[in-house]
Amino acid sequence: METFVKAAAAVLIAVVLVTVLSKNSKDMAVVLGICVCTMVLLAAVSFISPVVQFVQRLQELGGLDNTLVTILLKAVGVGLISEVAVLICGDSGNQGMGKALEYLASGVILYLSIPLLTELLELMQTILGEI
Amino acid sequence: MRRFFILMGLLALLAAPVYGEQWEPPEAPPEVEEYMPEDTESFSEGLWYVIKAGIKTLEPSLAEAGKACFSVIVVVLLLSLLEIYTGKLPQVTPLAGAVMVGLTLLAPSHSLIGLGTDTVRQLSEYGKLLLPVMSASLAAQGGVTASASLYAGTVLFDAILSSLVVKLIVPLLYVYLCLSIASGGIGQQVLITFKDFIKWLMTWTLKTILYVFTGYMGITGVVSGATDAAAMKAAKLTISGMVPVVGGILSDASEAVLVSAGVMKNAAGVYGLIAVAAIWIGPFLKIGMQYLLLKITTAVCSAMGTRQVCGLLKDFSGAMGILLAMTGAVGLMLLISTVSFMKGIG
Repeated sequence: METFVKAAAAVLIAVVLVTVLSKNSKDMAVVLGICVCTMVLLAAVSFISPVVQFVQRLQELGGLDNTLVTILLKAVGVGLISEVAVLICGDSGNQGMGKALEYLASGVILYLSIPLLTELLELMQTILGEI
Repeated sequence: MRRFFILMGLLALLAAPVYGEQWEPPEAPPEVEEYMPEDTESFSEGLWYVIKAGIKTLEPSLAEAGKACFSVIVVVLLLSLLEIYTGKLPQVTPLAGAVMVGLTLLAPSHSLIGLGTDTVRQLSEYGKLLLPVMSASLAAQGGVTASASLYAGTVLFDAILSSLVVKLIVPLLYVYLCLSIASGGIGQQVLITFKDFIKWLMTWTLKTILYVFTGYMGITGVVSGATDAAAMKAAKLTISGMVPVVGGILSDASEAVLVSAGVMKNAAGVYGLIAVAAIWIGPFLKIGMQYLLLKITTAVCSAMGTRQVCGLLKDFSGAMGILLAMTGAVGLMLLISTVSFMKGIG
């Protein structure tokens, strides 16, 4: 709770600083924005670790395939990071770069989905093979 | 004295040998012996014994089904956890959810579909042994027209339903499961529409056959039963009117013989009904329990799960429902046939 309050306070201060800086030095405002986002995401990682451990426990309880859960977590991670990066690009006025990053993230998620699609096809083959 | 010897000779000629007929119902298959009661004279007691025996064998299946449903709940919990954390799910998550749920539920669904198909075959084979016995005993009771028409109808509908189950409904069930998993993962409207059509086709087929069969048995039983009753009444009147002195006694004796034939027919019918229930009860309860557990799992998951995964769970429980209906339809058809034969004439 304390970490969250500190992070929220830091972000709000950074917002004020960025607003002030962007009038005189827009590039410094962008750098400051990136630094604050990075620090908040690193703080979020410390909260993600227990969640990942809980997910692994759920995976063991449910007898789920490790590969599938790993792909799922990777895809969620790629989605989160790309969303933050696209928004930073938007804030700095570089929508083009943000869009390109978005396409890259979609491509990576599609690439990560290939084993899932393969698994889905094999499952359907198994079902139809019973006929 | 000569007249005395002639009379004694005529009396000796009247001492003709008499034979009796007995109709034994076919033995229940050895696999269902554990469900059969020792005493099959009382239908209600026999049926209660079968139900209790069926419930006792449910425990291992309950544990297995419970484990599969628990795994499904864990998958949905995992997905909803990621949704809470990310705010919106990446496209891969419904796909992963559909694959995980499909993998978890495929094995138990496949074994239950196999169980349902085997039960349909067993019931059909037992019906082929039971119905000729019932038909012969109804004919012996005087219901010649009724036995022929009921037997012909039952055999026809049994053949149609058994063939449709094995060659159409079971393959369509697998296609339905396949489309459910694909639509749960990818979410294309064309897959959903095709899946719904297949479900409609299966339920419509089962309902239509059962409605037509029930209508046929009801009408045939009434019409041919009335015909046989009229024929028997005419025969009795003829015997009592045409044969002098002993016509009335002969008519009453023939009625006694017909009543005895009816008692034997009903005894065979009660055993047959209990045997059919014994073949049917175990698989029906196992499939019913899986259906119920999936319904509860769907209700629990709908509180926290995504629309696509909950839709997939609903489809799996729907497939179990169709399997239940299919097994129930064949069992019910055999029960209705046996009861129609037992109802007899009039």
